[in-house]
Amino acid sequence: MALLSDQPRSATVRAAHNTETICLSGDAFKAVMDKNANIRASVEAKFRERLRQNEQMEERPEAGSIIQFLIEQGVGEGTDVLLIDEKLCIHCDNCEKACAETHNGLSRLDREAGPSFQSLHVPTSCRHCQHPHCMSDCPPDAIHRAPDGEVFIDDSCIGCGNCESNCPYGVIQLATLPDEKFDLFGWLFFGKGPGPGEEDAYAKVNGNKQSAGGNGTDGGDDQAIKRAVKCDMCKGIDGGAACVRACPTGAAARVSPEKFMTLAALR
Amino acid sequence: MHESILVYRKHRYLKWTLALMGVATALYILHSPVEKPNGGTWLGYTLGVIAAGIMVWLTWFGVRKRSYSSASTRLEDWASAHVYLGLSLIVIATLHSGFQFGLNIHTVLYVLMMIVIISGMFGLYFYLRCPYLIAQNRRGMTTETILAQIADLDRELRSQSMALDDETAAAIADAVHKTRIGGGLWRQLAGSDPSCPTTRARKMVERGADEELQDTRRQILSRLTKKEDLLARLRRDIQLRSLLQIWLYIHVPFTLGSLAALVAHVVTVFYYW
Amino acid sequence: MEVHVKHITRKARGGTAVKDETLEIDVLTIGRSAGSDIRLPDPHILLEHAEISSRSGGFYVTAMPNASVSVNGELVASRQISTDDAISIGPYQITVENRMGGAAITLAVEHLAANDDTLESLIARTNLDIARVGTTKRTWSWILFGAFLLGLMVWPMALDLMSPVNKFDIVNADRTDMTASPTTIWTSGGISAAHKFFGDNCAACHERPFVQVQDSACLACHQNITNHADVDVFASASFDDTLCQNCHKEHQGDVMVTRGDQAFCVDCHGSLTEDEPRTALRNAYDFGTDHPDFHPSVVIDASLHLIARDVSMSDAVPPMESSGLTFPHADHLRPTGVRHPDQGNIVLDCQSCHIPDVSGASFLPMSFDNTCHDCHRLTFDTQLPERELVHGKPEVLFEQVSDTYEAIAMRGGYQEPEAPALIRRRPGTPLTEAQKVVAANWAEAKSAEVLNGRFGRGQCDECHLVFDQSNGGWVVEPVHINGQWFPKSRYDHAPHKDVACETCHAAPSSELASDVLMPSVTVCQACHGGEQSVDRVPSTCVTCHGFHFEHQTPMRPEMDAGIQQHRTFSVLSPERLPATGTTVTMRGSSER
Repeated sequence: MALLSDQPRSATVRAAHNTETICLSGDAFKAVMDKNANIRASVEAKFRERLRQNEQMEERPEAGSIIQFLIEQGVGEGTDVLLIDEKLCIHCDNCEKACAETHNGLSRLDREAGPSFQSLHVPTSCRHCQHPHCMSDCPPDAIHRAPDGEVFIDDSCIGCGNCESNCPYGVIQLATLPDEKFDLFGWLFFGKGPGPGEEDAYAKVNGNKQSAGGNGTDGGDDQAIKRAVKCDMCKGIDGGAACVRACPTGAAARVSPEKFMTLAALR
Repeated sequence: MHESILVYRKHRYLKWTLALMGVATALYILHSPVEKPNGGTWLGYTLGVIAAGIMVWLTWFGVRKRSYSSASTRLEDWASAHVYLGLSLIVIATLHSGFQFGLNIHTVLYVLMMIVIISGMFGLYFYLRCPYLIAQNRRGMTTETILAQIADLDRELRSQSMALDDETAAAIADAVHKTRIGGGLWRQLAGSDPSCPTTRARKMVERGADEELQDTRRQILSRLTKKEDLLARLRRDIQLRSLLQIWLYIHVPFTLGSLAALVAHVVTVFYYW
Repeated sequence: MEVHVKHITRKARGGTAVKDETLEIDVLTIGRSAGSDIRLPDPHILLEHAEISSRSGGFYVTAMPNASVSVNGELVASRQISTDDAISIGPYQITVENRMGGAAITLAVEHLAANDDTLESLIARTNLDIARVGTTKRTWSWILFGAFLLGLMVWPMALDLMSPVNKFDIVNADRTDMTASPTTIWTSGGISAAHKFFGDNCAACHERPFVQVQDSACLACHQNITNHADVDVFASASFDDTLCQNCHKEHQGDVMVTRGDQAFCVDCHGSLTEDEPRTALRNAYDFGTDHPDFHPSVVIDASLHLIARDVSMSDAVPPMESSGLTFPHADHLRPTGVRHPDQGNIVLDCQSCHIPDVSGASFLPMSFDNTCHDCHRLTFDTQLPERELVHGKPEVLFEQVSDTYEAIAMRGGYQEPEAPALIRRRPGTPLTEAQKVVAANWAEAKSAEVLNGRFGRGQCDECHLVFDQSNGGWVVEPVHINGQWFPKSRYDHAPHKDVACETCHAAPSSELASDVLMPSVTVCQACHGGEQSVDRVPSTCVTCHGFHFEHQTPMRPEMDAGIQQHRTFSVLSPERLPATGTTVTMRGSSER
């Protein structure tokens, strides 16, 4: 802003993750702009847009605290974060069930866990960080970023658990695959087999959910080989993330940090 | 970004539904059959087929909701259309009937359908209202946290109560061991427990005037009060979440009931053509 | 007594820790209080819960008031204990290990529920989810689905299919024993009044499942239903491919099942002259705005009973009625009155002659005896005021009159001054044979004079058309009074009874018997409009016209071969009428 307005720089910028900064001199910047009308026009458009946004934010100081909250939850370093509007969420857990049913019966999402602020809930689910902590120490190098930005674990996972302990947000679990597949009509009409996202396999991962006093995630079958599982943004499935598609009330939305301003302004 | 099903996609499905209802109503007004308007005229058959189609489609929501691999549309599209098309049945089916009601299976179907629609209206109200109340009530805590907190308080209460007289100690033991949260259907819907042992224990501790143990009593009292607050919160949470589901216990069985009545309606109308 | 107490604590990772103590006391107290000999710190246990004492060589455990103590699982108040007995107090178990000598006992105290299960037990007492209250939507869905499918469809259908199938015979059915079908709950609406008496019996009309109601069901009663028009001439009037129920909609509640809508008729009759060139009918769209003028059927030759149909009522060529009567309405309706033989001058109105029938729809048939005779006494001789001519039987008229005068001539005493003395003689005076011939001649001459004179021919001529014949005789034209001016429509006088007759019928000014006093369509249109009329009485086609035209052939001849032969209707156009009618000659005249 200051580059164009010739005013002293007024904005305080706090980095949400490791950031490289460069220093621009106002004169040099203006010289470049004077040479190219197109750049000038687009920069000035951006300038006006920023002004408008700043005014909006000044009118609603509480919007700033929402952003503050989101940054604290590590949403700032993410690229694509699942946010739930508590004013719309009917606790049907259809997002979890959809996640489980699109990922071999294992949900990579814990809707209820995670913090809330001003009716905005950040469930325990991968943020797809720009610089993923999980990637840093993976012996078989099984964690990758797909071209569309999603961070996923491939089949070469050896189940060492490094990523699980490296993730600051607790969104990676070690789990075995369940035996029985959910049979929609058998269950719907006759209650046959496990319901969507239900039954032992799911309980293995979230073993601590129903028995908080129990001893954590090792309630499963000790013999089976475990794999690290996490949200892969429904990579390779048409229509995008199943959790959002399966939300009947519009409470679940995937948001990238650029949209935080809009999100905060809307609330 | 976060849009309620009522305003979803700028009221797209509301507009569709209003258009459908408008066309149906206009045709009904313009239509002047030989006999009284009923399900047997060309418009009656048309509206009947539309209404039956909508009913079957609305019922299919139960399947679609669980078809997680369906990528074509978001479930919210279905939910939004489900709400509006369901409400449109009030108009479509009534016009189909030509306002003829009587003691027969056709009116039984109409009544069943209206039960489903009205229970759906309750459900919609709960869906729009309860999430906010739940969030307010929980103050960011999950049920597990609340339960764990209550368990911690129980543990402390138990050890502190050792020093108290038998009667009070027994009351606190009851509070620790016999306090029930939730339970049967009515207990869940009530959202409170008038005979809660914790409340009894708190009242007893308040009444006690044991000079020596004043300090202990005060601590126990504050813990019991804390526990009571958590219990009220959790019971309210259970109540609100049960409201989110209880209407479905009317809505879904009566949907299937009206589907059976729909089959009977269609078959018998042609049985006695 | 000497008591050894072993406090056993089981460790989480296996193994046990044992703490021994030996007490030398009289009574061993057990409780939660710090002063107890065995302290059991658990909220379930009272401050003083139980005690163990030694009496007469045995050891006894005694529960304190309100405390519960069980030995080997049995709740006790006080009981002797021996080796290997297990005393349960709350979560603790105290085992009697052995008796060392007479006065010593070893007790092993162990907390059985050593692990903290506060949260687990809390969760066990907690039900957060309505899905776990023991009822499922699935169960209720099945129940309701099954109940409504069975109750509303399968069960009535099974009863219906199992009941003996026999065609319901409305005519011969025992109406006192008509039971309702189990399927009446399927009814889509009330039965019309006319069909209510068998309406509970669905099979009466719905003969076969999943087949539309067939005409055979309707024709079981409505055997004589006729066609709309001559189907051999007008193909479009054939309804062979149409089921009765396509037009006659039942289950519409307590209303007529006939169609009354104008559009149904106008569909054909709006353009009938174009579509059916052979028709004599004119197009009609709407009674109020577009309906042809009335074309009555008019009697054009009474003696031949010839009726001309479809006669124009235009002012240019007024229709002529030839009833055989020379009857001027105006004469009878003179405001100054007419002379009555007994009552002097009386003023007549329409009802004096036209007496409504019981329904009020129409009028009683007119006859001389009932209508005219009160004024028109057919006396023919002032000397014989009680004698009247026989009306309507010209063939006996001559005999009647001549018999009368013959009898007078034979008897005598006839008072008329112009009569011969022989006839005026004192009654009863016998006649000679010659006198008898004279008297008979007089009687015949007198009869002819009377019949051809003022009291005979003259009197007939007052009302009837009388024609002289070449042989000197005269004939009375037979009378044919028109009974149905508009055979293809019906008119009910009853609803119109408060309207003055002359509003529609111009009788008071009608000077000619040939006047056709039927109103023009414009008279009706003054009050009646079309179906959608807002400022007239809305009237549709069927207000006046019927669909099934009674003079036509049966509509479904193949289904009811036994029904009566249809009546034919003579259709004669005015041009085809014979120039003259045949006459009936009076016997009396021919003999002259």
